[in-house]
Amino acid sequence: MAEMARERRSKPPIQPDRPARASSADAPSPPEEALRKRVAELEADKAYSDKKITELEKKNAEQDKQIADHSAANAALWKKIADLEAGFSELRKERGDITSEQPENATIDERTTGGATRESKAEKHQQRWHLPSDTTNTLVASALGVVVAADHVPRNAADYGGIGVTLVAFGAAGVAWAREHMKNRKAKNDTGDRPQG
Amino acid sequence: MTRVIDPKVEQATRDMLGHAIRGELQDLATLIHAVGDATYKQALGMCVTAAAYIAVDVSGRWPTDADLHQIARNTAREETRLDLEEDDIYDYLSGAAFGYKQLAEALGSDEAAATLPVLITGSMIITLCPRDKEWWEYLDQIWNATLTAENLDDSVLPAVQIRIHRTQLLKDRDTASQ
Repeated sequence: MAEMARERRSKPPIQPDRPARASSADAPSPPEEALRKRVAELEADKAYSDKKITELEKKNAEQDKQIADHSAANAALWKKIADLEAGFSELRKERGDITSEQPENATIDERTTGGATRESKAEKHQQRWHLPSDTTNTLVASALGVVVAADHVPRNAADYGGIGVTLVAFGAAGVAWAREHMKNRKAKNDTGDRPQG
Repeated sequence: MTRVIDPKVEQATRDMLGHAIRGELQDLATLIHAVGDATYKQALGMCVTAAAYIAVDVSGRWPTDADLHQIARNTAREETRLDLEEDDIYDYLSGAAFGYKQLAEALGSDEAAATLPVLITGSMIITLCPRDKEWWEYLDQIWNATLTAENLDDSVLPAVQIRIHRTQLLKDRDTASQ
């Protein structure tokens, strides 16, 4: 009992409303400090991002300007091409005018036969080739080689015989088809690989 | 080596031109089929040779571009049996006959090259044949002249050129004085 009383005297009296440790009013608590630090970090990040965004926007604006410049240059080039084509067309027209201004070749008109005379001549059936003399005839029959024929059609060309039979057999329609095919091919060749726009 | 015309190809070409001139396209197709591809290709070459001869002959000189247009125009205008256009004939003459391009290149496609030469040449022969001749007599003249020219010795060519030049000069003088 005496021991318990001694112990009671040595301990200060219990004061429940008083803080356990005394602290200064300015010093932040550890979580608050961490939060402030985090805010500072985020603010630094934001500033960096803002700076980056500004830089990118600046770059973007430069690229927009470059695109605009290129587009303008492109438009100028197309205009030049159009002008050149117009000039070329004008030249061709002038050349055509010159051609049409040339007097007709009277010899060609004199030799042109039409109408009934042409029709009656066309109706007659052809006779065989009459060579100037028997000597020539023998020469032609016996000599080697040929004069013409190979120059305009390569040996390895398509089967012209087969194509000719097919198209000619269809008469006017076949000829018209061959012509359309020719025109389409020419138009395609003339257009080439020129970019559109 | 003597240069010649193969009589077999000549006969085929002549018969094909006859069918074209008379507008007998079914008969022409049958004949092309009968002679086969190799002979037909040679016949096409003969047609180009004949067309070039006719163009030079009717122009009375080496044909100008305007001459070729006029020949094409006149031939297309007078053609009643075949479906030919002035542009077809002009391309054939300027490209193949005088441009020495291959037929497919001159006419734009193998299909046109295999179809049009016989028809165009037939039309040219009957339209531009001398009035006092039948068309096959004119064809005789073309082949015989071609044979003669092809077999001329090279040493003769300058003399031929002189004759051509003299003829042209005198003709121009005559025209100028009229």
